[in-house]
This record gives sequence, structure tokens and C-alpha cells, in this order.
Amino acid sequence: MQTPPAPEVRRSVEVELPPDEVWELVVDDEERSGWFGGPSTLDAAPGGTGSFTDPDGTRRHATVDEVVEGRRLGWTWWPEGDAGGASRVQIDLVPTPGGTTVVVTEAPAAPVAVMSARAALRTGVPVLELELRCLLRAAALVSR
Amino acid sequence: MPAPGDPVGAVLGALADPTRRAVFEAVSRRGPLTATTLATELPVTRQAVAKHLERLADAGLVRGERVGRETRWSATPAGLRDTERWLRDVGAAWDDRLERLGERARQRRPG
Repeated sequence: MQTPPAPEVRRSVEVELPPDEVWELVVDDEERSGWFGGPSTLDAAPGGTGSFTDPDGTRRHATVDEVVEGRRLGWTWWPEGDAGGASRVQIDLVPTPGGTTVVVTEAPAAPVAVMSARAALRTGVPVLELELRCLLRAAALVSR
Repeated sequence: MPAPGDPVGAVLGALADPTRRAVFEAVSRRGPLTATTLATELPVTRQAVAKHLERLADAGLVRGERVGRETRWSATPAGLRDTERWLRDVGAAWDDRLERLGERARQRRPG
């Protein structure tokens, strides 16, 4: 039985800098804005807030939920005006003999809840209920 | 049978059978459920329910997760397509960001 992939994105890059220096690239607003591709501010402390702007202009708000100085930064972010589209990002800095492995993980804050919330925002009806009704009606017509 | 690459046809075909619709509806509303549980609620055998679930799974409407000796079935509505698109877009965005981060790190590298 083939199951769908877990809705999680994981990417990593090796850099020849010690974790402390990579940490600076992650938590310093100016540095982060540079590699992020657009203006970004983030108070890198638990409960800290911030914003990110993608190169395409998409703006996200963020709340920091985990900070392990020099090793891990975690936040939840969501596109402006779409709180249902929230996802959690975690950046881990893993020391290596040659420098640091930067590991990024991003996953929907809660896949089913997110999908339902998105559809509810659009239609006022939870997604599953709506799709179910459409499907069953269509199928009943076909089977006549 | 619908042609391969005709997901709408596959979905409607799978739901054309009234029992299969009942199975899908139960799994959608109250899943994850096992074939055994479904068989106690519907006027068909466990084997028949299992066959219906396989057909629904082929159409991408449900998926099974093995827990011990049982398979628990959940609905996978169109949200699955959204999920695939999300994974692709988010992955591509991080590929770009980490490439720039790597470049920035190279600029700062001592020596």
C-alpha cells in the first residue's frame, strides 16, 4: 500500500563556517534578509515576532517558539491574511569537522487543520464536508 | 474502467457504487477506521469492505496505515494535491535560500 509522503520539507547545506558564525547569518536581520531574498526582521527570542518578505513579494508574519543559542531556531509563520496557512520552520546548525551543516525543516502547523481552516476561510464550510458533498452528488448522478 | 491519467473518472467510478459511497462517507466523517469496524456497520462482509477500500485507495480517495495487524483507513480528499504542491513550492523556496546562504558563508570564510 503506497502512502502519501509526510508533508514535511527538509533541506540542508554544508558551509565552511563554525556554527556560531552561521548563527549570526541566521539571527542578524541584515544578514538573514540577504540570503532570504527579501526584507526580514525577527526577534530571535522565545515569543519574539518578525516578518519575512519573499522575492516575489509574499509577506509572512512569524512568531519564534524555540531558541537554542548557536544551534537551533524555530518559528511558526503564515502568509499575511492567511493564518490558516501557518507552517513551522526549524533551522538546526549541526557542527561538522569542516564547519556546519545547516538543516531546515518546514511542515504545516497541522496538516488537516490547516487545509480545513483554509477552505473554511474561503467558503465558510470545512473542506472535507464540502468536497464530500460535491463528490457524493456527482457520483450519484453518474451511477444512475 | 476509467483511462489512466483520468483522476476525475477514477474518483467518480470508485464512488459509483452505493456501498462504496457509504464506505467512503464513513471513513471521511469518522476515520481512521478499520475494515472490521466498517463491516459491523454496513450490510456487507469484512472481505467486501476491504475490496471497496482497495478500490477507493486506487482512486486516491482513501489511504491505509498499518497499525499492528490492522489497517486503519483515512480519507485523502483533494487536499492531497494541495499537499504535493505545497511540498514542491516550499522545497524550491528553501533550495534558493540555502544556496544564497551557502554563497554568503563562502564570502565570509576565513582565509
